[in-house]
Amino acid sequence: MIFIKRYNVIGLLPALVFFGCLDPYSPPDVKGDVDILVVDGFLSSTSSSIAVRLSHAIALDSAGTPPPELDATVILEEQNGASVTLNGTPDGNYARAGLSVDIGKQYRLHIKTSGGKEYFSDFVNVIKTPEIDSVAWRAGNQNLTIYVNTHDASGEARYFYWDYVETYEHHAQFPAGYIMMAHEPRPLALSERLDQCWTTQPSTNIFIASSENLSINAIRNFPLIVIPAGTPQLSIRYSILVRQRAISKEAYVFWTQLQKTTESLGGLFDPMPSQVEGNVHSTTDAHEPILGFFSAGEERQERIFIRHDELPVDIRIYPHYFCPSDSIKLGAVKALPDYTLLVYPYGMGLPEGYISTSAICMDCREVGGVTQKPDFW
Amino acid sequence: MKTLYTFIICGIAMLALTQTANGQQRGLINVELSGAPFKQLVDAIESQTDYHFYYNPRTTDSLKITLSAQNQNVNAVLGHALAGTQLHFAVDPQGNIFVTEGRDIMTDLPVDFFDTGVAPSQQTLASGFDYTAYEKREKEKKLVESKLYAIGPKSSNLQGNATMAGHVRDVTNGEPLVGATVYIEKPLIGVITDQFGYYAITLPKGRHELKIKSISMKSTVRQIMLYADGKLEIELDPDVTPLKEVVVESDKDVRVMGMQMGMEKLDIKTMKNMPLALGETDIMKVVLALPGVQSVGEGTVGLNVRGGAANQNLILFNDAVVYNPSHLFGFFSTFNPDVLKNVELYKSGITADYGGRLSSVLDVSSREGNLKKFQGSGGISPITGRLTLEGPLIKEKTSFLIGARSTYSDWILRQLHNERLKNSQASFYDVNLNVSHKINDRNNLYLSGYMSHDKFKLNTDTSYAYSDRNASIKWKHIFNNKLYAVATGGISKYSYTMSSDLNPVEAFDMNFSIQQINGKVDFSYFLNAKHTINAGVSVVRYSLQPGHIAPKGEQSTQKTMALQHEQGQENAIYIGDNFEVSPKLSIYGGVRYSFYEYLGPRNVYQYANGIPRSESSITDSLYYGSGKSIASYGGAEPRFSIRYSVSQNASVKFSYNRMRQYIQMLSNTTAMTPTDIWKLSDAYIKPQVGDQVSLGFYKNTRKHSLEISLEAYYKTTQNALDFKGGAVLLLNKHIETDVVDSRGKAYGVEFMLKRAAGKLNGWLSYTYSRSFLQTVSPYASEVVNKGDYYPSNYDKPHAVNFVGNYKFSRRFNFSLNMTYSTGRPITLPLAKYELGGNYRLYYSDRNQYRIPDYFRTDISINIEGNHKIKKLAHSSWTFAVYNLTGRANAYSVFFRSENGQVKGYKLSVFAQPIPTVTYNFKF
Repeated sequence: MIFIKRYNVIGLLPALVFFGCLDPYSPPDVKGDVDILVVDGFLSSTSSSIAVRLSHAIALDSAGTPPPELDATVILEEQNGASVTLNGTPDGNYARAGLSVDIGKQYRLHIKTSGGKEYFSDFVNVIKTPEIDSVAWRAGNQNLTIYVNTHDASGEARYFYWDYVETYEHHAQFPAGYIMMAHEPRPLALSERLDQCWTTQPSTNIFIASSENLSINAIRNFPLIVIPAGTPQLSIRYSILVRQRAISKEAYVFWTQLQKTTESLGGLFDPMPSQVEGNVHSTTDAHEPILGFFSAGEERQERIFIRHDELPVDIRIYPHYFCPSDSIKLGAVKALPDYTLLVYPYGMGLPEGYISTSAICMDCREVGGVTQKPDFW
Repeated sequence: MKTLYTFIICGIAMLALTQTANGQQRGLINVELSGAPFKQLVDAIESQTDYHFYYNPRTTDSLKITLSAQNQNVNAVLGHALAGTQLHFAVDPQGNIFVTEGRDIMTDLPVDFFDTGVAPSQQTLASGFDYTAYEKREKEKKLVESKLYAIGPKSSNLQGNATMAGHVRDVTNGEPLVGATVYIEKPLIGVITDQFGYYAITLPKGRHELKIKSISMKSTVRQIMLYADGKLEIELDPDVTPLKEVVVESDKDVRVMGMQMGMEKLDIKTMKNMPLALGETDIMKVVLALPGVQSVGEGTVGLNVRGGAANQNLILFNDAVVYNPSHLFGFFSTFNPDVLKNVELYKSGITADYGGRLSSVLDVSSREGNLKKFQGSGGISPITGRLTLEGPLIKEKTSFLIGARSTYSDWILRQLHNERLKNSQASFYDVNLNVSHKINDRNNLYLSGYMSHDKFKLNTDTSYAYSDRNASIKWKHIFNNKLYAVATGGISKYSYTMSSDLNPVEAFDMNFSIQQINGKVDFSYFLNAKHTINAGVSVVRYSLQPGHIAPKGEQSTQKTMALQHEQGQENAIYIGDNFEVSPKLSIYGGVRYSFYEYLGPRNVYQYANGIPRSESSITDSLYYGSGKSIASYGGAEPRFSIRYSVSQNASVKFSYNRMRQYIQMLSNTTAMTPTDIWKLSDAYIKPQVGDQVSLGFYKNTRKHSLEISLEAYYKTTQNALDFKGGAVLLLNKHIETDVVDSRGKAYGVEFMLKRAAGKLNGWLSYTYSRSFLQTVSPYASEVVNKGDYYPSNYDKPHAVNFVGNYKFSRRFNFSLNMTYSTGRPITLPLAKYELGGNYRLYYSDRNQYRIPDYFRTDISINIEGNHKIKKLAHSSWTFAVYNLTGRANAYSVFFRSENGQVKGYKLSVFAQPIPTVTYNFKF
């Protein structure tokens, strides 16, 4: 009954757009109390730690970030057992490491906000997670797809949740050689190089799967991400760290509903949106909506690397940047502000001026990278 | 033989023209006869005057003449002698008298027959006589209109009433005319022909002028002398210049004088005059232009009639149920316009012979094949091609009609320079077959078969196919003039399959099917002039295969799973009486009793009491053997209507009806989708019960050319289904855990102004309607919007429709269609929050906001070929522009979180004017 999520009639949309058009739409002034508590918690038995984030929902058109819930008391309670209070940080994160998590026990969260409200989560089981069998990739005609495979011989884990962190190396097209300092171009030292960067980004979608309706207790070739050829991701070397958790059926239903209501909705053939209820409840007001979910379990992870030269020839496309270069006469160069980058000097003998181009072509940090090489690289 | 007669007579007449004779006074006659043969009268006249008779002794040998004439001329003598017989006489200027049976003879030619330059004043003597088939029929029609038909054996007892019956047919192809009015004016007594063109009218014995009217046919009259019960078959001439006649709606005064309220009848000509979306006449789109009918969006097929859900409409095609009347997600309806005859939509005042759905009955009838000659028709539009053939199998007895339609959209998609669309497929076809056979005067047999099939794959890995098939057989038997019966048997099957093979390890085939076998017998009894009684029994057997999934390919790890089959039986018995209390007051009262059983074999889950039903509250499962009753429901469904005529042109009507529905569609999407599933009422899901009261006022002005109607209604629905948030409906083994009982209410007012005649015709309607639902559950977790009433998905309070048609000439007509409605309700996100690395949305209470209002204008121009009666093929061109103003009407509004941002989109389906050209032909 659950398999159907990905086989909706959503595919219709492109066909409809053939006749019509898709315009941005901003909703009418929506009024309503949106200050709703959001609980996002996970107790990891793998790392014997717990991390809970408390925040609030914000208006749809708000440009700000969701405000954290600060100074709350967050307690992890073991059923018929001990309680530990988590340590809060100023960004709304509450954590505690070095716990002894008993796989056979049930745990819940107990939250007391500084405003005096009190919440409990349901008791949750600590779910055992099988190892990731493999993270694999397969090249298509114009893209590359990354899959995950897993199975559980014990037959216990039936529902899976994944997230991932992508890291990729990318280079600037025209590495800057000089930087303006006090009206003089100064050569960049090797340690200051701005042409080699690494960008790291987390997954933003919900990845869940179930083997409930499969004849084997295994997930085979579950697609996580499709990377188009010719993107910076695949330009030098790409890496993905896939994290896997086996989850309870309740958590699976929660994530399925959340996926349905936020990742694709509103088409006439999509299910009507609904409020997704998590497993945290107020002790005082049964009607108060609490968003988010608390779960506990093990976490497995797997990292793979893909080099540009491993790609099949047809998709071994280098990203194209538009980098018009320009020559700047020495006099004009001297007028440039500090930290302006220059590529190299030109001229016979003494430089007559410097070649420059747009910053995005000289400095890989401009597209979001850092020059610090990650530990695992 | 007739032609030969005419020919000879013309020859004689031509000779006669050259003479200057006047034979009107050739002597007076004295004759005294008593029960004498006709020959004796002839001899008497021939001996007393110089007239000479021409007649066929066989047609007169049974005639006995009793006559007493003193000094009378021949016209008076013969007129008296032949009154009340089938014989006619004609006297020419030469003194020849022609006695013919059944029809008259013109004895002179038009004055300008040889010389067109004759002054008009001299033409007065002649009656026009043109030998084109049309004019000839006109003439014949005049003759049958003036002839006196004797009904029943002659008798002098003219006390009391007698019933005459027969069929009204189209003279050109012998097809019965449905909904033709047969009536006399003094006193006003009238009936309407049924779906077989059959009528039975009870009148006081004696002489009457019987009037017959029907849509797009020439009205006619018959002079009758009603002695006793008898038969009269009537053939009507079609209006061969179709653009001239009334095209909209049924007979002029039906809306005021008829019993039925909340009913709209559209014939195919009306529908063909409306602008088209994709070059094809589409009955569903025409029906949507009627007041009280809505849909959730363009390009969707479900009709929402008076605030009812889309699955509450009983859609019948030749008496067989159609489950999904849409092609290509509703861009087309599955009814081929070439085979259709008419469509009737009942919104209220539904009579007891219909049952099984709450909101409305959409009764679609196809034509019967031409009984007289072979012919065909077809059309080509940008998306589809269609062809229809028909003709007699046995002349005047058996006819067939076969129609097929298909699309070449697959080919179009491949031509597109869009990778996503190139990888898409969409195709459909539909086929209709009708055979009707007249066994004898009392027995008719009708066979109808229908099939539609769709297949599509839209840039996804999943392909879909669905098919609707049905067949019905109908036998009509006339016991006598007052009683006839129709026995109908039918089978309908709807099925779909879904299959996916993107990921070979998860590849699957899934299918669903529903089948119903039904049988019914209906009796119509014309008790007397005041009472018409209908009664009948019906049995419907449902069997569903609610879902089956199996692996596809060798690598697939998909588990095979099948939901248990479902069986149910719905029995009904009904009786209704149409009672005309007085010419001003008519009452219809009826009751239908339906009884339904949900049958084994089946394992039924049992749930713990006092907590919401969920997978975890299952306590047990009970097995019911084959044919064992698992749950049963039933009850009376009263139907009542009353009409009171305020004046000749105005009436007030009121109706109440209750309906029960034992099968419902489960859908938690806004629009009906081809993959929605149907579910029988079972131990947990109760049948829906709907009640409606409505009140209407109707007035015709300007000799019935302008019709005004105002109807108000109030409806309630019990046991409607709603779904818990995120409910999964497909392949759900315990659907009862995902549904919530709810109730609905709807009310509204419909105003319509309609001009049915003249160069400019069409209608303007305004509808105010509301539709609400409320979940009924003792558990807080199951209620939607805190248990308050909330607007249903199809609650569109204001709707204005204009449909206009202007005929510039008989060959050109122009139509304009304008539609406005309030946007449908939607649920909007109120807030966003961060979870799992992305923004998620928090939604408002259900349906608290609306998408922008809808407005659309369409035009079309019809150009007919010339109107010569005899030519190889008749053709017409239709140029149409859909959404002339190119307004980007919102089809849907949705929000998605993309790369950490929440974005809102408005999707418009037809955001620009869509021109189409269609070529239609007929041979």
